[in-house]
Amino acid sequence: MSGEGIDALALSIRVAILATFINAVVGIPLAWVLARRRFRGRGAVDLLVTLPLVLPPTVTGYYLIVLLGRRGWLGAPLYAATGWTVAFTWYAAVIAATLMALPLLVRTARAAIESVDRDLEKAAFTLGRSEWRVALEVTLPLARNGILAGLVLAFARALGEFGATLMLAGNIPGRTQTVPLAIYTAVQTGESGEALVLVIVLTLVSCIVLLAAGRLGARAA
Amino acid sequence: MTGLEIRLTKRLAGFTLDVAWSAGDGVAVLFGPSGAGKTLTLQCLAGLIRPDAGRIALGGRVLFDADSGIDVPPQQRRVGYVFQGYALFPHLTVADNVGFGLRDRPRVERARRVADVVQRLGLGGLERRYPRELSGGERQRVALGRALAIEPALLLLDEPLSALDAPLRRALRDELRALLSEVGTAAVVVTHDFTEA
Repeated sequence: MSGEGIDALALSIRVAILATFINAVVGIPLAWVLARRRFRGRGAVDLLVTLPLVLPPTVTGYYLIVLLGRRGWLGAPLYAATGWTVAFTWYAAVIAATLMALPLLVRTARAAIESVDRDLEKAAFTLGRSEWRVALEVTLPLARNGILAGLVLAFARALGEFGATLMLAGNIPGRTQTVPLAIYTAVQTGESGEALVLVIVLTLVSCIVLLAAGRLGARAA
Repeated sequence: MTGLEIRLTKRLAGFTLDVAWSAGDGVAVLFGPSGAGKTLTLQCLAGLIRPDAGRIALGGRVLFDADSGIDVPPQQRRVGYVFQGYALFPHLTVADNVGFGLRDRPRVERARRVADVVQRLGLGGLERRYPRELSGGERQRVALGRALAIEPALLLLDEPLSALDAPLRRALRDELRALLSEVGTAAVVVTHDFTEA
């Protein structure tokens, strides 16, 4: 594997880990809120989170440019204030991967939370627990396997993200080029050996993640 | 004065619950066919469902009063609730289930209280078991113990015997009755089976 290939692998793993972490912090509370709370705009939030799952990734990437690009709704004021833009940095790859992975975690975790017996939560209320403590001590522990499965899916999705990343982060070797982008570039430029190595590496990493998650799940059950 | 007064209205889609009764100390039985709103009444008593109108008072303490806007949350009602399917926490041991409502007590007192309830309900030796490892009768006693551990002002039992098979039900009916009179806590028992009443 070339130096650029190793850079791409290191970046891909860093991006996927960070995106999965952000997914856990944002997505698990979001899944709980969608599963257990009724509020105005709930349908809109659900739709917005799910959209990246059904839209072509390039369309999601286009919206990200409109929002965060140097001339974007949020990007322009940020650029005016700091002279910095997120576009074409590796942060952009993290943002794209996070957004693309979020619906997988939220939908899986939400289904797991919804399947927790409401009577268990009600029992905990009568035993003095606040809604927040009930979520932490009863609902989330019982939904643990589903949440874990959602995180694995999110990691895999983040690792494989291509379209939205290309739109917002570009394909700059050594800076924003993740493994999927490096594979595409290698094929385009006729470096079939490099492409094959990267394909095998990505396949192996995915298999290791799945096996590790399966082991965790077995221990949890 | 430790009686229970309840008067409430709850409108649901295609169904309006209207309840008004009072009970003294001891065990009150709510008896009626399924769909009559018995469980709904219990959930209003526990504060899990908010009635549209009415008043609930327990031993002179007002738990709910629509007119003056009082609605004590379930966490502060001190109402022990034994759910129809027992609703034991499957990820916690018998001891942790029984002690669940005692989190704010000092560790020593908590341990003593759990040991006391475990012994009184004949659950000795099962402390480290999980609910899935228990028989139906044992589960019922854990659910009862969990509700009693908080020293409730009122105990609610929703179809306490319906999850058991017939021979066991007969045996436990007498056991439950003896236990309730021994504990002396005011209780409301819901059933659709006349022989249980």
